[in-house]
Amino acid sequence: MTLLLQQLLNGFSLGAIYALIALGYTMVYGTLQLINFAHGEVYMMGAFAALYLAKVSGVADNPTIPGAIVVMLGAMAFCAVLGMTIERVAYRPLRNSSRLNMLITAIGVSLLLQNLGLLMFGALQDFPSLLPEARWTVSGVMVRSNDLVIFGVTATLMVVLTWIVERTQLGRAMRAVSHSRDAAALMGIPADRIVVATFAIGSVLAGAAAVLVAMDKHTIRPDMGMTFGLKAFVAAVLGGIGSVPGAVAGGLLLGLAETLVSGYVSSTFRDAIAFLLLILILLYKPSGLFGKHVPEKV
Amino acid sequence: MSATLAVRGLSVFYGQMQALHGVDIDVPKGQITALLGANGAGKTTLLRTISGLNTPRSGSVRIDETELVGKPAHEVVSAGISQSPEGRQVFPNLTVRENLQLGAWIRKDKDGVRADMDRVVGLWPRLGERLAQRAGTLSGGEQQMLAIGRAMMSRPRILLLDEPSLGLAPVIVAGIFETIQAVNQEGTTVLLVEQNAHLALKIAHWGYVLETGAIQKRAPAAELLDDDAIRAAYLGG
Ligand SMILES: Nc1ncnc2c1ncn2[C@@H]1O[C@H](COP(=O)(O)OP(=O)(O)OP(=O)(O)O)[C@@H](O)[C@H]1O
Ligand SMILES: [Mg+2]
Repeated sequence: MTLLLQQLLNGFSLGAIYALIALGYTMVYGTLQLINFAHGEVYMMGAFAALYLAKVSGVADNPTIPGAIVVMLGAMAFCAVLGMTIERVAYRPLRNSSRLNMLITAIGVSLLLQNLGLLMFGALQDFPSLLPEARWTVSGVMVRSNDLVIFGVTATLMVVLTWIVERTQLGRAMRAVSHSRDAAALMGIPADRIVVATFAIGSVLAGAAAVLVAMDKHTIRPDMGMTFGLKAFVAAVLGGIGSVPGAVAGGLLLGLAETLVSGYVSSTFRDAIAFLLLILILLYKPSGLFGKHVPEKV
Repeated sequence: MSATLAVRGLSVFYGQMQALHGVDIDVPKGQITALLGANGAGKTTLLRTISGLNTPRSGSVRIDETELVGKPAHEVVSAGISQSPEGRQVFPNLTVRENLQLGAWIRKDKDGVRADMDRVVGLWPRLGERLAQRAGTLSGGEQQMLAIGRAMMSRPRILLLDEPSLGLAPVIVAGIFETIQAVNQEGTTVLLVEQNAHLALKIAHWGYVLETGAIQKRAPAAELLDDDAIRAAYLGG
């Protein structure tokens, strides 16, 4: 029982992070039908931006709550700018070319950023505590302050995101553009600006996820976007790419599956489970848990 | 609230295929102009080009003195032209209220938007009863009402309507045409594309006949209603 509770706690914590990153994949897919493979690298760059900020601002030497908030907001802003730049420089010129061209470009941008990261930051770097850390044992289950931070930040961001998507003109326009660019244009909605906003929001969430992971693991590396980003992408597909609630559900499902498998079966299968789930969902419900239509083949 | 639309020498191509051949049309301020034509004549192409969704190879589209050719579609709305497109194109996953709110995208006057939403609901109480319902679940007639209502939410000076009668029962169509006439009488200029020539000409002031991408005839609507050739071609004899 204790083991189960522990695994569930760990699983939700991991799944929350997957969900944050998966949202970026799914939102961009929704408006542009593009799998933005560079999204994982935006997440990676966010972690290094946070490291730099923490060092420069002195938060690394003197962890406090306001300090951590400043670093997180800074990394989120950095990611927003990076995501919007990628859209402007790499994707927008291809707006009228084939989806295969866009996809190849996305992979290219991803590799470019990853190698840039390797060049600039080397293989691996330590990440300091941004907050005083603590852990408690509650009836046998170890609860870490970092878990609480992850839940708190993720829940807050989800509420804000839901509010934007469901209650604001921007959110309505995002949903309209994802249905039909032409019909949206007839409302006076500038689709390009909506696409930029989508990249910005997705990247902001990736920036937050990056800081949460870095705080938790205390190491960051230029290939973290590849490994973690790929899992988050799987989560988005599990939930149904293009669906916002689907990304959240897919993230949590994947996080839980991974921790339960490593807890009860073997941690060797931990990484395999993501791809096993992916294969299963593609076989039996290709549109994903919350997806409405089968995504076209690219 | 009103303006004059002038289309001059408009030529539009799809690849090698020319869909419009130097089309001239005047849509006088405050009136309803009907554009008739068979399937594939180029009616939708004309409306899409006016709205900036298609780019003409040559020609001009002016609202009062402002040239619209070259403007992206979303700016044409700000210039005062709004369209209820062919096939309605409501946003199926958004609610009726959200569809209407998006129709008001270019506006910042919240009170005015709310007043206009009340006006649309006043015209079509059936939409009012379904404000929280997803547009995709509406009947065809209700979707058409929503498409027109949504187009009115930007307070257009000129309203373009592409086959509002398409696929609807006669009694629904009659209601929709009455409303189009009412909206026009409140001051909005209308360009109405229709295959249902009889109904369109009855509420219109002017009529044009488009055939394979070229204007064949322009006359006061009443005159077209009495025209033998038009009767034979579009009014079922
Ligand atoms: N996207 C497109 N690509 C290629 N050809 C097109 C395209 N859209 C329309 N056409 C062609 O242009 C011509 C005019 O089409 P358009 O849709 O404007 O006619 P329409 O008068 O609106 O017809 P309908 O009454 O059936 O709606 C047709 O021959 C049509 O096949
Ligand atoms: Mg048509």
